[in-house]
Amino acid sequence: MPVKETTGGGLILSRRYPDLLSRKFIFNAIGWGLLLLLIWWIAVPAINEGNWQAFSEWTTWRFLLDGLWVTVQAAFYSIIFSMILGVIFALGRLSTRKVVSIPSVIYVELVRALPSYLIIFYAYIGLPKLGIKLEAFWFAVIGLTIYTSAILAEVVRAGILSVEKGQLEAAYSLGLSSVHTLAFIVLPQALRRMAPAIVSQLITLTKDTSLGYIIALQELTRKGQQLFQFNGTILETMLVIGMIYFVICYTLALISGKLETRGVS
Amino acid sequence: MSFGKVIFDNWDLFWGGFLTTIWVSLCASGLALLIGSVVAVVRVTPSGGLKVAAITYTEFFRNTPFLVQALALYFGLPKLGIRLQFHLFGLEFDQPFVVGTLALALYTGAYVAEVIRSGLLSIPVGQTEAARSLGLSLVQTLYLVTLPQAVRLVIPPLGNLLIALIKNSSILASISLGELMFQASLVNNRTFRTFEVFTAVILFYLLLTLPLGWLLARLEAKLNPLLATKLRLKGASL
Repeated sequence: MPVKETTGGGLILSRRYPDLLSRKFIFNAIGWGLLLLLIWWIAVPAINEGNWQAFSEWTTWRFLLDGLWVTVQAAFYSIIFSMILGVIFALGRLSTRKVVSIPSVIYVELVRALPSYLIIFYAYIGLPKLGIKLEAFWFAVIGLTIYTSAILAEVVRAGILSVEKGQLEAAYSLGLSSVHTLAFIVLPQALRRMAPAIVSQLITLTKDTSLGYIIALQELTRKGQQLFQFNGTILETMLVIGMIYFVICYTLALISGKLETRGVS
Repeated sequence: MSFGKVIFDNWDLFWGGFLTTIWVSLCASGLALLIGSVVAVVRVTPSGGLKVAAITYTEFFRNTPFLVQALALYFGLPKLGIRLQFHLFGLEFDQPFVVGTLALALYTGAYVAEVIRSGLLSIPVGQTEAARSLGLSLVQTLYLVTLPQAVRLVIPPLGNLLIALIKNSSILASISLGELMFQASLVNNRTFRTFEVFTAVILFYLLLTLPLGWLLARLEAKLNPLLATKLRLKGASL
């Protein structure tokens, strides 16, 4: 007998057993079942085999935290440098002088079209050819800065364009020079508006520091890889590494969300 | 040895890698779209447990690096006794390819879900209420009323995700999938012309991403430009 819906939703439906087979009950069961299955699948064999043993020792954590410190430093330096470069390229792109704007456009568009993986690797192999010899850490920072600055340039440009024209006119008619207008009127407002986007770019950047892995930078992912190659506990190690990244990035995501709602109200 | 000679002597490797990059991106983007749509729909329907699973999935995959996910899947799945390799329609899908596609699809799928969800949520509630009071079911409402409107809002950010996916596929070189980056490393080990080889890789990636970006910009201008810029689609940048 075909089921007819009169009220409520009803994706999976049975009128005969409304309590037992209600839609919500089924979805709940499937959802929790999936989650439990995943946990059971990963965690239980691991506990049984005693693979978590390594994580009860301080030396393991010390090893990983060293990596985390490198990750945090790389993210910190990269975001500072790419903010500066990003503002410069954003202004460059908005410049009325073609000599400035065209190279800025080319830089931003080319870099945005390339994988960050490739850029880091290219910095690592290319710069020594130009006679620049640095530690792997700085090659990672340079690569990440090149990539992130191009993205942030677009973010900042959107921010600058979102500042109302009246603000500019008011500043000019008060006698501020164009440099002063930019520094005291336009940029502060643009950056405040773009704060959520900049923080979410910081999330991407933090995740991208893991690409230091390929140039043998001793950051968190590389440390994790060394750890699981050493004691063979791949799933446990990756779960721990993943959770560390998750805590950092999710906190940043919450901050970004907060900034966004504050900006709206 | 000149730039051209390095490239043309090893043309099959480059070309093979280029094709693999396209192929893996195509497979992964199809899968990501599927995963993303299902997860997005689950998140907008009223359903407790499944919703929690969907949120866990999107938040976890969006907030951990893709490299970590790819490594975990590549080395972890065999540990769980899962070997993903098969033959289908005379094509061979080996372990790195299947795992790489899966990893890429899972990672991008989380972003796709967020984009589609915010697209769905951007449709005014009045539309859903009107449809429901006209007697359409939940599925019909989604399918006939909400989705068609959401699609045009969602296409530009989805295009951005496709470009990001192509770029992210380069990371799969570290799980030994024979795509562009990986093949380039092979050529590099053979010729030691690092600079030339990776400049060629840059050109290959530009060949893929620049035209796509250009097409996307045109599409974006065509599809309701005002609304598209007004909408702040979360998670559109990778």
